[in-house]
Amino acid sequence: MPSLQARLGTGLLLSLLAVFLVLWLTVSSAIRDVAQDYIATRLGHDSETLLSTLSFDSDGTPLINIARMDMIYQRPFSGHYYQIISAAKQLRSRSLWDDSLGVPLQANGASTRLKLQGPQQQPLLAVVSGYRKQNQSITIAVAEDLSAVEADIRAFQYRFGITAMVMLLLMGGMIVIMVRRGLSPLKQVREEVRELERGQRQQLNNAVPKEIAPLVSEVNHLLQILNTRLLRSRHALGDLAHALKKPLTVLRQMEREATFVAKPELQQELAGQINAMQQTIDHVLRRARLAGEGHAGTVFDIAQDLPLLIDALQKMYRHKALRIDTDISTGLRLSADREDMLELFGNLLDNACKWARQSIRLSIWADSQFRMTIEDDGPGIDAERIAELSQRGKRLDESVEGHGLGLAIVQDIVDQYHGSIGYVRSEALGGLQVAVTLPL
Amino acid sequence: MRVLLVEDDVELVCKLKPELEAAGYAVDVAANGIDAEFMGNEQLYDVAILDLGLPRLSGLEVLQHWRSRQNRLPVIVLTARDAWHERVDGFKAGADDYVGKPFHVEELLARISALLHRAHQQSAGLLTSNGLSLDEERQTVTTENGKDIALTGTEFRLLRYFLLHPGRILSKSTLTEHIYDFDSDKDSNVIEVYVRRLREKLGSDRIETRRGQGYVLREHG
Repeated sequence: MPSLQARLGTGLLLSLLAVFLVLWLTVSSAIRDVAQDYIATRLGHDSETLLSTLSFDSDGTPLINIARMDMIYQRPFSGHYYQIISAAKQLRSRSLWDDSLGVPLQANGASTRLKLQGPQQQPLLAVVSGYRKQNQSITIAVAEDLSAVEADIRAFQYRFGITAMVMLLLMGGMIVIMVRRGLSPLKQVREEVRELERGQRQQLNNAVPKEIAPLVSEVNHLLQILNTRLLRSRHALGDLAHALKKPLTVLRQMEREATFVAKPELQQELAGQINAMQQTIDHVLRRARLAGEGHAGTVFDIAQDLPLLIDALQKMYRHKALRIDTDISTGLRLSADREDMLELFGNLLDNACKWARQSIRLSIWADSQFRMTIEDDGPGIDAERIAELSQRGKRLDESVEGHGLGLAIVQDIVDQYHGSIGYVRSEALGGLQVAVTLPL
Repeated sequence: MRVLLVEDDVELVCKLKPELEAAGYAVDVAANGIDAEFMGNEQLYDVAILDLGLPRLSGLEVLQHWRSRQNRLPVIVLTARDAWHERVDGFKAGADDYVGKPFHVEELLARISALLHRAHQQSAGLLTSNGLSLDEERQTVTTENGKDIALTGTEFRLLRYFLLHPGRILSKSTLTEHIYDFDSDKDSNVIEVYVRRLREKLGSDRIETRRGQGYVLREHG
């Protein structure tokens, strides 16, 4: 599809061109007609003057009183000519020299206007009239050279053409500007859609021209539906979690009842099953809760949300008196869902807090990608167990609650955002170092 | 120590309340957010256990309302909603600790105890003052000469309150308020009886009587 801009632009330019062309033709022909009418009128007058000075000698030869005629008719090839044709003879103006005007005879009272080729290739306008004087039928032709008038008309046409061209160019420029301006709301909408994609915006701005307003409001409506759906499913999942966890809590209390305490193997079985149920519920629900890339939810604000998270962790691990150092590049923006990122950072930092002796270091920076590392000074893990670490629900140490589960969720989040995660031994602190990379 | 348990799940309350009482806490229950907010502002409680999914007013709002009124009541949030963003929002609203459901009662008890110690500037572990150290799990007290003394429920509650407020004058009504819940038969003369029993077990000079004011646990021998 050709661009709207090109379509509008060419259309407008072509119609402008047509307007100028028609104008040029009409004005030119009108001017020519006016000039010729004017000349013809004068020629008619000259023709009548000729008639009034005309007399015949005895053998019917027409005679003209030259003194009463304009001198221009005497000068050879002056451009003004006459020719009187009677039955007996022809009388030509001196200016015609040896040439003659080939004109048809006219009946008495008839008159016609002709274009002729005159002497020296002059284009002539001739008025040929038929009269009757002293019982003689005569035809009088008076002609005038049109080349001067034609030259004036051509000069006018030229000037008109030049002016039109300049105007056309100016208007063409204006059309381009106007079309661009007219289409700029589309560009803005495109920009906003991009922001939507990055999650920097929840809705499209609906202060747009009425031509695209329906489109924008449709998109907004769609977004609202999507958001409502996501919210609804998140709420539904949250409620499900709530609903399932309460019976689990009660079941967990039942483990300690006398009946079960009396039968340790039964109690152990019950505990194991409850744990398995809880893990499955946790994992499935947390995965389902992930918004994933490109969702227009609340955006994770590193400068605001991370300190809150670290504060929360420090309260949760108050008994360990941990030091959490952060090294975060300022001005970083990551267009990711707040809940997802809090889940990612929360699980990784929580894991670090569980294992660390006293120090944790969080570094965040960006090159072409968003990068972060979380290091601790805990025991770390062996190289051969690193591969096991990210497997779903794999628990490296059953004694630390939720360890494997947390890292499996981290893996899910990283996958959702098309990022990568790696585990190595921390050089600075000696424990585990987790490095996460996400596309910006 | 008096605990405000805010939880709308009757079954869970039925399980949890006896456990808390067995651990020496006086427990009042609020089953919705409006009651919880009102009761928490009564200045009766030493700690609140707050569920977030409450009818009428959410737990998070209850907490925010308390904190906006400068109510510093220590709060442990107890919730099935334990996604990290919910935890962060909980702490931001002013929670002191967070326990996700389902949980082990022992864990909750340990968190309550730790929070109470912290709220009264006491170190974690055994509650100690003036040569006495109280084992809250076993509900026994050890004197400076290494003698273990078993305590009855009410004695334990009373001594724990004294140990968390060493050197402070505690009136009989204050002690009654923090040792008994709403449903108990409150007679402040009972406090005199229990103070006398504690003096018999621990030595008569540890708890002073301030006439007309109340009792003080002496900080130093």
